[in-house]
Amino acid sequence: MRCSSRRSAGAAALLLGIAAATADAGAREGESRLPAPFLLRPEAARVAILPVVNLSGDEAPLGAFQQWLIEELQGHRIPLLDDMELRAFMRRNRMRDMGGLSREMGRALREETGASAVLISSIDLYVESIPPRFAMTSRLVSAGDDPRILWMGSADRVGDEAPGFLALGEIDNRIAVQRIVLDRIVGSLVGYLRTPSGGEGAMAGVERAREHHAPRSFYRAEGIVPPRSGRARVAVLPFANGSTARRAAEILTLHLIRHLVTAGAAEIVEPGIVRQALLQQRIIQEHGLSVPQADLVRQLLSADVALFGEVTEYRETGAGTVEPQVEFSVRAIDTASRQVVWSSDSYGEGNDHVFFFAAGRIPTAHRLADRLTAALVETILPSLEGPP
Amino acid sequence: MTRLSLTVCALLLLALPGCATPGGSDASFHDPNMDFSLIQSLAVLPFANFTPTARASDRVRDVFMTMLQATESLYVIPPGEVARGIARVGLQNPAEPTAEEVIGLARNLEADVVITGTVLEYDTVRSASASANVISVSVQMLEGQTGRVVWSAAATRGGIGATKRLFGGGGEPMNTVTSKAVEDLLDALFK
Repeated sequence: MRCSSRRSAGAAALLLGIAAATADAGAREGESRLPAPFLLRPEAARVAILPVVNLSGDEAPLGAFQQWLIEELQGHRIPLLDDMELRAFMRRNRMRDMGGLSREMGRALREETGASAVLISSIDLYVESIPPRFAMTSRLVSAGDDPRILWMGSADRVGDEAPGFLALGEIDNRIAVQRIVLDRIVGSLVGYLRTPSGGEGAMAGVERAREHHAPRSFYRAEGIVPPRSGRARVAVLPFANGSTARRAAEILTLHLIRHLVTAGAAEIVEPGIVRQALLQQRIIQEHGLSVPQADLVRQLLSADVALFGEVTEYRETGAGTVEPQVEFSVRAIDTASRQVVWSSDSYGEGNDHVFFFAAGRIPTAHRLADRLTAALVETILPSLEGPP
Repeated sequence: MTRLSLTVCALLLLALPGCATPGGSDASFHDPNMDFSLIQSLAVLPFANFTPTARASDRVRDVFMTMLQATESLYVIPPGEVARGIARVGLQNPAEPTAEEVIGLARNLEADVVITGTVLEYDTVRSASASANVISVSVQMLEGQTGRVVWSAAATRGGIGATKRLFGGGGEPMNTVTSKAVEDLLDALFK
């Protein structure tokens, strides 16, 4: 399980969920009125579940997954914004981007519906045929004037990844595989909402990732120019996609953001805000970010570091013996000094560290990308933390 | 079999690995009048692609830039900034700039030198049951003030050696082969 939380986000501020939920619920019609007899973070007062985004490149029943998420969270007594109310809001505000939350939308959502946070989810891998494969990423973003990533989680599962004795562990049922993934994500999210520091389990995977999947080559400046606030504010710009997988760049960007959020060393700008700024200023980084564009990013997003890159290979496991393969490069510009502070090239294959039968094999490009980005973030951290 | 035949066979077997694809740069040129220690910043222009693989030149350039920056000896101007410089100077063919264009671009980007390159081969070669990735790349460094070539090198890596020919099998991943070729080029630059 790989999940993450923004530790600083209201760690001390816990609310009695029952009070927040019932008070808010009473004011609005048609919302979940389930009691929440446990401690909840303030962000959990009223969560909106956005329609799920499909990054898999295959057709997937997105509505069913959104409904599944709603039911699971309701089952855990998380107060949710009514789906009809959310759809009405989306129609009213012409909200089309389900992959992020811009400042305007965050503010409007808060004011018009009273939502405290938004759950943004994407299906990163969806294969129904045997062995079924499924991967999903979700993040919880606070609604309001300045949307912030509060929690982020991701999980994947392949039906035959742990066959065990006489292949008894193989799962042919796609619903069962999807259930495992969803349970992990929902479990982590609920854990975050119920405790001040949920999602702590993520770092164990990072240690292993650093060991095996470190960037092939990298340059790292020793500390960026001291950020204006306490922590460096990092804007992860959309990656360019040079691979054959259609949405590979978005999947990789999400992995990177998730591990940066997990590490907690920097404040990560919500991708919806980044997207909105790039669109408004018509910033097209055809060959990466130029210095004047970096200046704009600093000005518009108050970012100390602009991170961008390109995915050159993203090959999911296919039929036969094709191994997953991921290759990407990342660069970061310190917007104050206008200099490159980070440059790296990462590459990995699913069977890179297999020595005995298939032990240690990584079954999906999704998981491989996760390991590579985890190792990358571990290597980046010293430059984000600044000079001692 | 006589003792002589056995000796000849043993010598042949020992000599076989010598037929394998050699590592290291193929050839290199250093301008003896150039003080390379004075170079602080450089711009890597898009490489020319002479291979059938789409975007092979972009991939090689990307690895080259990262590895060059990783040496921490020079500042490599980010690719977006290079692209902006190319647009501002109005370079028609960034892979093969004229001396005047190099001077203009270097002034625009405040680069001491400009690097151009060509990817000659970037493919998988097959022979009987063996297959392996192969890359061949050449680069030139042009002085920003004069536009003349001050360093030039070429490197080839990968391919099918005698061992693979005899026993079959696959070669290294393209990324690894590319990294090795770039390493050879950098060795040639910093020697």
